[in-house]
Amino acid sequence: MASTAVAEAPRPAGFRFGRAARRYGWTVAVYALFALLMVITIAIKPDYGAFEWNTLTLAALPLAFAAVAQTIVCSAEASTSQSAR
Amino acid sequence: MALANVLALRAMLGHDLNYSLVVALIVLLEVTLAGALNGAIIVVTRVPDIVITLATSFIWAGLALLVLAKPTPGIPLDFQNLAQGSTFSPWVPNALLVLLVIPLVWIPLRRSRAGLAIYAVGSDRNAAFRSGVNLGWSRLLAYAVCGFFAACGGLALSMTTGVGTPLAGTYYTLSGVSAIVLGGVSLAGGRGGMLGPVAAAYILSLIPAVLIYLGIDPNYGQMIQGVLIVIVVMIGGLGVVLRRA
Repeated sequence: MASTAVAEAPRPAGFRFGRAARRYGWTVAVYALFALLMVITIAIKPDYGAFEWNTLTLAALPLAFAAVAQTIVCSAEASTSQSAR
Repeated sequence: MALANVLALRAMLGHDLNYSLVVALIVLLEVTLAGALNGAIIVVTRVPDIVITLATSFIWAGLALLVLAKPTPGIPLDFQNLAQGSTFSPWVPNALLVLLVIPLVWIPLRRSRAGLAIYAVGSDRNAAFRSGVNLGWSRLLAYAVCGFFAACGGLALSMTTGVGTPLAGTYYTLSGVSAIVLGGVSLAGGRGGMLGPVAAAYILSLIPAVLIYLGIDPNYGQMIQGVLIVIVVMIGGLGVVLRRA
């Protein structure tokens, strides 16, 4: 009996939506939430301008650094018990 | 972070911009070394990281209080102006340019062998070990980089407020956790970038402002942060359950 070998078709190297959604979906959602909050803010305060944006950036700056500092440690440290040294 | 903030204030008090910049570099180096020391203790003693980090955070907080007992103004105005105001356009504040330090450090690190090793260690320590990754050095590097960014945070606080605040660490530790959870960083390790937490930092800073615009006590912002964390963690847990199903 002749064996039939089925060659797997090569995967397309282009953009894969599912993979991108899994990898970056949350980040995109966070930016969408931020954009939504900005829209709400401007709706509440129509004269929202450069000064307010500047103030927001000043307030977010130390927190952004603190968050990135914690991110790098969270990336390296697994909370699950792992035994390798 | 608070230590960097108070060290900067203590050393910069009454000096000019050039002197302040040298001080900022020294503070960056000191706090990076403090982070590396934290990592070294964790790697050498093999005590759980949370225990050592919590213990050393008390040490740094105590040291910050010894350096400066109470919030004190005195950061030179020229140094504050590095982050305050807008040099290029009213819509591009200087603080946004200071924020560029994050991608300038993060992107080369993330694409380097060392950065890959950090994520590999967080993702699966056994697999990383079998792939030849030096676990100790990778973890130590992660803590050193953490120290660097914490120092940047302390200096940013100095620039934005002009005040040395010895107790700033408490607020930023908790809010930092909120930002990374909201930003999509996995607390189980191995996942997460810098874009999410930065956006989350903006969101968490925007919430009190929105409450003020609505005429609501901004202290409700803390509660909203807590509720957001619970919701985000629940969504994350739901995602894990759905993937397993």
